[in-house]
Amino acid sequence: MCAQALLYGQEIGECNPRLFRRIITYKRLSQLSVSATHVKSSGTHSITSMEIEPMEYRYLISTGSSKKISIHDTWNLYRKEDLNSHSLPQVACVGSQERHKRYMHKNTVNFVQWYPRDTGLFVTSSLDGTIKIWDTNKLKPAETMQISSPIYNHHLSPTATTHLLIAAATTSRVRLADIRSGSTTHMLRGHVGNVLCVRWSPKDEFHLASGSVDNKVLMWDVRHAKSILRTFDQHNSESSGDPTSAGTAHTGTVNSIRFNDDGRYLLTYGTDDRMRLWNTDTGENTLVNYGRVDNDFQHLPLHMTIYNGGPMSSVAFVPAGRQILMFDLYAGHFLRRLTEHLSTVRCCELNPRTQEFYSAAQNSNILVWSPDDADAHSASDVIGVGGDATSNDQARQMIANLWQDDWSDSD
Amino acid sequence: MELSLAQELEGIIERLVTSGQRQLDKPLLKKLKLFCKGNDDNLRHCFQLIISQLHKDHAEVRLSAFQIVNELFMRSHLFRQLLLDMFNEYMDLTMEVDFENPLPPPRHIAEKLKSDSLVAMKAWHDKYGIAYSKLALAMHFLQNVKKIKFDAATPQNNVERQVESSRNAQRQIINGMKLDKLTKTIDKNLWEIKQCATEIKNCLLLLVPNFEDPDENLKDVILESESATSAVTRDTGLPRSGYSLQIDLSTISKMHVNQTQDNKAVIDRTKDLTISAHRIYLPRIRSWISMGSKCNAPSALIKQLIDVKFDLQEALRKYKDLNLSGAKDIGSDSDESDIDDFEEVPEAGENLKKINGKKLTPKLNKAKAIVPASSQSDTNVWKPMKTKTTSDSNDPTSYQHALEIQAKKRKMHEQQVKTSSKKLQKIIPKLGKKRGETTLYDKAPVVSFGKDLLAWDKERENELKETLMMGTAKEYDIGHRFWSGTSASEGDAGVSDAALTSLTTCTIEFTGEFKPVTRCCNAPLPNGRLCPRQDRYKCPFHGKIIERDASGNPIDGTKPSTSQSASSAWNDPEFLKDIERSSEGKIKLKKKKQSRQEKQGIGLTDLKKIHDTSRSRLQKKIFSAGSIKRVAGTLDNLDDKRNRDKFGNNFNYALN
Repeated sequence: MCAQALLYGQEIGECNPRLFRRIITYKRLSQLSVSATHVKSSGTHSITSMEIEPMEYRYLISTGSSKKISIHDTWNLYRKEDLNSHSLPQVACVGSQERHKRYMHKNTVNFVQWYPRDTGLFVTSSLDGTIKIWDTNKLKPAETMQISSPIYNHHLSPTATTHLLIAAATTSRVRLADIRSGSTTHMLRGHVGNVLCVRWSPKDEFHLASGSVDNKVLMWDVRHAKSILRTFDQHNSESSGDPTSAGTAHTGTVNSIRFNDDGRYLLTYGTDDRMRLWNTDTGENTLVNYGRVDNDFQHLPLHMTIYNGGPMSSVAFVPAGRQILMFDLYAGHFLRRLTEHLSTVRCCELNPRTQEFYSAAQNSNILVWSPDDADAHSASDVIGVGGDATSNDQARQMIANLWQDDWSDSD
Repeated sequence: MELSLAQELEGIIERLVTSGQRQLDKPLLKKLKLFCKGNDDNLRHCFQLIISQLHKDHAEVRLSAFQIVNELFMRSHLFRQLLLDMFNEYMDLTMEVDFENPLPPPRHIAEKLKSDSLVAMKAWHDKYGIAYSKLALAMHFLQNVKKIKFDAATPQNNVERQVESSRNAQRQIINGMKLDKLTKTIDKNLWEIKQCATEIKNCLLLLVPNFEDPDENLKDVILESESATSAVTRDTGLPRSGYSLQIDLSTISKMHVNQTQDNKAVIDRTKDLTISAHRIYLPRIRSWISMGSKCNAPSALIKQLIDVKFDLQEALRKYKDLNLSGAKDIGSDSDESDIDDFEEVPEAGENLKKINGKKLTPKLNKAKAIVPASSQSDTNVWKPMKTKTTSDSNDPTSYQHALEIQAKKRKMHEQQVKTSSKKLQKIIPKLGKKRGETTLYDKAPVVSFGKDLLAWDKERENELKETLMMGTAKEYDIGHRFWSGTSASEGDAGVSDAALTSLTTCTIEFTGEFKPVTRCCNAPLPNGRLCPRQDRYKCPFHGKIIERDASGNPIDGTKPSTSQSASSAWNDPEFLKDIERSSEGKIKLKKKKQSRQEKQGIGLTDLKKIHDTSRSRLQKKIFSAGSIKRVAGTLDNLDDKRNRDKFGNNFNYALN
């Protein structure tokens, strides 16, 4: 369906507005290309985690092995429509000044997350065994919680209304830290290896999924004394319903897990180079075949991301080595390969508002992918939005020239 | 795309890549471009082929493939897109970005590939950086993450720079240490060389007055001119003083210094000095200079060394001009001939007691041992047999006879000198044949023995006879019924000659004389020298020691490589075919498989050959499963044996 027909359909009410949005978004996602905009890198540290804040989808927070935490403003992109490359403005940075050293993490920061309802807070966890809750305006930690074992990942439930628990993935157990009391309340035992990833279910505020080095993915109910709700078994064997059974979700470390938007499905990714989609209600493997997805990250968490576009147009972005692969979430079709990174990709994040995509690799290089730049590059379709139109024209002309073949007549 | 076209394309790329040349073949490249021009399918196929070549584990293949990539990258937009899509891989394959994936051997080509690809990368970025974001990213990655500096003459990354700088520092320290040591040794030993040079010069001055010295010359000239006007005209009767006699000295190419009693000491000293200069001082000073230049010695020191070297060489040159060495050779030759003559003189009148040893036949030995007493009594000298030469001559002790022999020898010597070396080889056996019978005893070595042995058997004979007799008598005395002497019946005269001989024989062992080995192998070595190994028969590296000329070529012209030529005949396919044909299929010879290298006919360096070092070959032998098993077995056996010996009695071990 062409864009004109869609627009018309939407006008006359033939096309569901939500569907219209999904179609447009899906189309734009397939046009992602590296934007001329870039994020200034500082040094060669690896970037382990980043997140775009879920209120306005404006501020991108990122952290890594340099222990610095930087916040970039993504909106700035559209104020300057200039083809000459420019960088995202950095709004704030913890660690840029000497005085920050006092309260910075002592070791690699493995995860950073905005407080789900306010940009005034964000939470970081680090291998030095602390979770810090930061005041964004002061750029100082409001609270520091000691867990005395390295933390690989943590998560704050985006949907919880009755609790404010941070689930922290540590060595062989999941710890629950209560922001309100500032204490670590629970300890969920069940894994036998380091827990690398943990996620609250969007469907039920007390449900929690975790993936570990021991190849297992477990579903917990934090209210239960017994805690383990479900063990995901890759072979869907008879005993898979039994929470105590020793079924494994992967035949390798589970690096990354992600729920879809309604929490009915769980996507997991392991070092057996496989991705699996699980039904969280029944705990069965949906056997969606994503094919082989290279993954050689043995003992570190990776962060994939999902665009939720309904059953037809949901997209999973998966870091696989130096590439990022795009899959149709429910069908398992391979969609696209983003190859611009030159070192191993650790995390990626999608801005659902603008369909901009951010990915970060181990060389502290954050790339901004934008569907708009593809339009801008196609020289025939020039839309002058601000800026110096003539100079832009010249630049585009030059690029168009460079894109031409250059066979000499003598050949 | 048609199959034939694809195959042709593949062939072109294969040929381009396996040429082993540093530059691509122009016509082939042109052909390739023609294929790719304006045909996207061809270009895509070509790209895949090139990438597959880039994956080959051979730096030369990769270098050529990179060059093709470079050519096409500058031409086609599609190619650029295709390459940039897999730029990660491309960088790994050509730029050695990842240290865990180094470029394949040979190393020097890999270095070239790396620097070339980085330079090309820079050029691509400069031209296309704006239009292709990936290119800019890659450049950023190389510059900021891999810390490659493109401005430098050869792009290097950070780690390499560090390695190199640390290596340089290390080298400097080592050089400094070496230099210290060198200066110390030079300070200690340089005076010796200087002294040697001045000594040679002074000796030469003593031998040959220096006409070139301006002061002395002038004096001589003045003196001569003064006397010339008066005395010369009077003596020679030459009419005018203006008459000049020109003597062209240039025709006398070589000076000769005659050795006399007066200058003998000087000449000997000069000879010694030059020998030591040649053997010790010149090589030493050369090594100093090379070492000094290697470890950056100050130029003053090197200059000093070079000056000393020139000094010494100049002195040696002058010495050579004097041709003293030639004189020495002649002298030594005559000496040798003298010695030979001296040795050959028959030792008739000498008072030495000599005996023939081992080389005599046992029969003769016996004869010698049971020498009749009569012959011994009149002279002190015992001669086993008269040699033919002495018996033929009338009076061997006369001076005349000695002269005669000497004259003969000289004649022979002259003949030898005259005839060429080949003829010499033929003559010698002839001469040997002529005198074959006569020289058997001449050749036999003579061993002297002490005076006490002279009458040894004579004195002992009677004694022994008595004892033997006594022995038989004793046997009688025993009077045993069964045990009786066998020789009882023989009586007194029963002392057999054989028994007596066996008792009276005195054997003197002769193991031969030690002659020091003087022959060198002299086979030419790869470094230009001759093989200095000395042996009687065989050099361990060059086989049988044969006569060789100054440049190490065998004199008789036969090359020891006859076996090689024979084997090459067996490798000759024509020859083998002939054999098969003539045997009418009875003999079937296996055809050797042509090596892959030959079949491909490519110019790539053979990587296997690079690894085929003496070390690897030894490793193959020493660490082969068989040899390890054998050695381990032997060691185990030894251990077992030792344990058995030590603890065999211990029940604990005995049970095992």
